[in-house]
Amino acid sequence: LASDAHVHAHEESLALREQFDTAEQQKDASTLGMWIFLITEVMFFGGLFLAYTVYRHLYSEVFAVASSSMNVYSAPPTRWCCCAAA
Amino acid sequence: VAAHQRPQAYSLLYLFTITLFFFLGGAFATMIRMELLTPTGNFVSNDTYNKLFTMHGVAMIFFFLIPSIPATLGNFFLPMMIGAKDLAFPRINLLSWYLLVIGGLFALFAMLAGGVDTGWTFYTPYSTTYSNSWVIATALGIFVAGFSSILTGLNFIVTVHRMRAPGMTWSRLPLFVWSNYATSLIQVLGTPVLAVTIILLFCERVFHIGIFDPALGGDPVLFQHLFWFYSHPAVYIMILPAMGVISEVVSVFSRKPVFGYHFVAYASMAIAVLGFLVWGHHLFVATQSVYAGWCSRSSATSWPSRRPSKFLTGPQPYIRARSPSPRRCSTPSASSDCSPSAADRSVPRLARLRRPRDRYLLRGGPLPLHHGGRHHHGLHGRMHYWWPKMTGRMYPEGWAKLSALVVFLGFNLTFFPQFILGYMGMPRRYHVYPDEFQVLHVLSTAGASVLAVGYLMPMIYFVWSLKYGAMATANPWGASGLEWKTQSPPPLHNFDETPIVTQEAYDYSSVIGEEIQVG
Repeated sequence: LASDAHVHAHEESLALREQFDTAEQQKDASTLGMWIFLITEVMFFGGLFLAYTVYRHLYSEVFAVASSSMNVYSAPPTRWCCCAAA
Repeated sequence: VAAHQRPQAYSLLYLFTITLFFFLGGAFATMIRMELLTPTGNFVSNDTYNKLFTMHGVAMIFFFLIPSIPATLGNFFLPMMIGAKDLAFPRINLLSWYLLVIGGLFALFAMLAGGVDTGWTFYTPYSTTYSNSWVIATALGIFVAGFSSILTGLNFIVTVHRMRAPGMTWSRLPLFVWSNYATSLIQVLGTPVLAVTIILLFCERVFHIGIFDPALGGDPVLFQHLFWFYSHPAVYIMILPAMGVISEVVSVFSRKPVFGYHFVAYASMAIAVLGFLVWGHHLFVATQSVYAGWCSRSSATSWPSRRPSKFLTGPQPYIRARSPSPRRCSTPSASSDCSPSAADRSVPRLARLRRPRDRYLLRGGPLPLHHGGRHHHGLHGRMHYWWPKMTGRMYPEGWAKLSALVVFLGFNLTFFPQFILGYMGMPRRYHVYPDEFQVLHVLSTAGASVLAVGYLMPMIYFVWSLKYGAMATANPWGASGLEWKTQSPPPLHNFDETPIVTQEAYDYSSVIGEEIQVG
């Protein structure tokens, strides 16, 4: 059954991998690894968010004007990319 | 290699991959040195020369130097040296290799399709607006390979924090582990910034979104800030693991604990942290805001990075009369370490040359190559030091000593003329030069040929040793590290049972009487 297979896969993912001695060690390692991954994401996108925040603050009127005349669906793909980047 | 020997197999995958790129980068270097034999440009055109030094830099930096020691040998030995069965995430280790290969294929495609001519630094607005070469393909290759580097760093940090054997405290970690830990911090914190820089470059080049191009409202210096925020620390990604190697090798063959162990460990961490604060010295030409002047204080990194050289090379009161090849291969790095002006981690005599080098040689000097030089010695020494453990075979000692000598001579003959040339005013990245520089250029090319022979020799005798070399014992050098307390090559989980550590690092009291095995 599909659900059995799913449960089995779930159990397997929780099973103790051979490089670890205890389940606690495995959980600690996964948690730390995830935090480090999140730190890399902050380094990745943090600058863009910061730039957006600063520009939003410095030129808030321009943002207001632009938003009133912007139609996301009719915008050219370059604009989408710009929004995505910002 | 049997599939179940996972760490070993993955490390060999990395080794093959980076060796391929080393030869590729070496081929470009060969063409550069051929061209520079004569003062006139008679072998390649200006455009081709631009592509040659760019592709040399891309292949060597992003696909050889950055992954080399951590990915090939760190993945193998870091878990063993802390008494772990494997890395915390063996599958991420494999994923990291796939990413390196995919990134490498992008770069390879760009090189075969016509090359890229921006220089390995991809300065804007040339790279985003004017260059007609394969900028995007190359940049995407570097982007993907960057995630390989990030994942290696992530894996090492978690492994060092969570996988240490009982008794393996932080103050007992071998210096190779410390240096790779420091390197991992840079990989994890710096590489994402390179990734987003490449994304922005992509957006401007493909979609003409004004980020770096002043005509579109951008700022080209912004690119340099972002690029060097990663690429300055990246020079420490290349050099810190090599320093760790040298710590190991010098300690083992002098049968002495590393003098100033704690200092070297903390200095590695200080280099990793301070390395992030000094990228501004790459902007001397471009200039930067006066408020950012603090980030030009490159001398800040020189203090911690000089210590390891001193602590290692100064006190060797007891060097064994017989000095096997690993030490010979790696010692030159301590003496020929004329690395970038900014970081100044030269031996004190050479440090006196630093000031002129700052002014003239920063542009004329072969700084990345020198880095490569030191790095090569680290890798070279390290391959010899750990080869018996990796493969269970000894290599021919006489050939290894000869190779060390040839590399030492070739290295100095290649790069010292370049230092003098830079001092005399030879600019970087030019292939046409005044006649009076020719003698030194010919010397440098001759040195590069010698160096090539020195690197080909180990290729041959390492492969030879796999079949014909003597079987290695568990501890052929009489070393004290945990990796020597298990068979050569190691079993599936590195140790038959998890070791319990009761000694400080580099405690030779229990192995002092053991003889050195020579292949």
